[in-house]
Amino acid sequence: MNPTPLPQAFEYLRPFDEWALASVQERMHKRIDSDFDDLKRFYDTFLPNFKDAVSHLNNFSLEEMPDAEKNLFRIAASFIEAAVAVELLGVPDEPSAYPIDKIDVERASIR
Amino acid sequence: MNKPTPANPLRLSTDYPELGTAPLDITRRFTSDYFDLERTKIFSKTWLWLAMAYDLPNPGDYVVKELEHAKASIILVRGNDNQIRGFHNSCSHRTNRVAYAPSGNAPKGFTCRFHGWNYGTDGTLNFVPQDDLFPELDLSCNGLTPVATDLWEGSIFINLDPEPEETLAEFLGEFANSYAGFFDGMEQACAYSVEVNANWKICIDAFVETYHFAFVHQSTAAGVLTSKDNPYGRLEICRLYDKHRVVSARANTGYTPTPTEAVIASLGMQQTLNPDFAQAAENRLPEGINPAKLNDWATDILVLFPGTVIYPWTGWFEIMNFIPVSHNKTRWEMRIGMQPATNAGTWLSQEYNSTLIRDVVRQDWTNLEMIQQNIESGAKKEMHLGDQEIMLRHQYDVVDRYINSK
Repeated sequence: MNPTPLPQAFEYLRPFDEWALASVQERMHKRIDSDFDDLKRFYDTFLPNFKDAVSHLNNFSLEEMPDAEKNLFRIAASFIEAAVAVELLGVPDEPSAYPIDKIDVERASIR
Repeated sequence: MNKPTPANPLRLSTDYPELGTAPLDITRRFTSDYFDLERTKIFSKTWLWLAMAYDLPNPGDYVVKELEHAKASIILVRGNDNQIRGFHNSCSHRTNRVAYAPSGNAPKGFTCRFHGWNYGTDGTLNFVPQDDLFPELDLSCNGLTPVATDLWEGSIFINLDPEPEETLAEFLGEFANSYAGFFDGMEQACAYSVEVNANWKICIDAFVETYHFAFVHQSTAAGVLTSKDNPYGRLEICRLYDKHRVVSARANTGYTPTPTEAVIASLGMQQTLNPDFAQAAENRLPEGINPAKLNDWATDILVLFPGTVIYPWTGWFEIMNFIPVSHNKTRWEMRIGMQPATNAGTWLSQEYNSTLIRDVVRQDWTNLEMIQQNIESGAKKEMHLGDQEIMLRHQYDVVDRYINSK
């Protein structure tokens, strides 16, 4: 299988390319199924450069994004999930939170 | 910034002594018998929020909404003449449904899959296969059954009463003109829905007070609405209308954004729970929003009776709709509307907000099912409502008024 293409400046995210997920359902499930340490590693790696990544992506149209940027965009969207878990919750998911499987979500995917 | 309001712990209810401060009797308000009264006297008589006009951008676009409390399936459709109409989803032949998908585009209207009767987007019965079999059938008076449908500020409301006692504008009353233009240009960023095993009033109750914030939402949203001045995130400036009501929430002006929120803010793409006060000052909100003109205003909680809650934030909104399925089950839908994302940055800002709000409301739902179960157990005969819960007290008062009407 070809590796997920990434913009060259963001090759450091290669270890986290499994977070290049198009739909919010995939992203939220990956977050709650992850170990907190893995979320923290993802978060700690991306946070210092998150602003640069967003600035880079802002140069591209949402409608016609090259594959490499699209993957970066998807990883950035997953970073949002990880950030909520790491910065606010302190766990991948709060045990008392209403089960995520019971909630329907409508949100445009990154296609 | 405003000085903190002198601590009057009873500030919301001072102007409304008629509501009293007594505990609320809960022995009969949540039973299936009571729900039958609510179905017929409230949900079949009042205007109900159902969708946003932006759900139906093009002629032929439709959505189908299930209203279990009336056993009704309702089609909302933008006609080929661009007008939005509502119809019962029922064929004039032998009453089968004519629309089967939850949404879609049907420029040629709706065709019953039972025998092929076809209706236009304006509800007209257009075609009956072998119509010579029906010597007495007059196509012109056998269209889809219309449902009273009207719009307010980009929201679509229906009324199941074939002859509504008042127009939507009359029903909304005095504040209706004071939101002009607020929703313009916004579109759906995200929507959530869930069926919760709790009575519809119990569900609404959890979303119209902030007394619970410091406890339920300690890990998530408490920081943006509680502050040194206002450690419990107390609400301000309650206005109780005839049936509806609004209260304002103050923001934490000393809030320290998380590192991710700081990036979002630094890129000027902030549409989040933590208001951008500079932007808020520039942003001219319609008169009815932030009615007391608080400098540290975060949002209002506007409840449209019976079951819709609108939170207008600076430049974006949430609308929650609570549809009773039975006396102990509610379908909740939440719309998050924002200016359309123009680049990855604004899209990610929406993603942050939608994700955070999702995890905030997930903290609420677990409690509500436990509350429902305990009410059904009969362990308690009453609940206590404090000053900060005046929005609940008024809701029960209005429900009582409808239930006790003729």
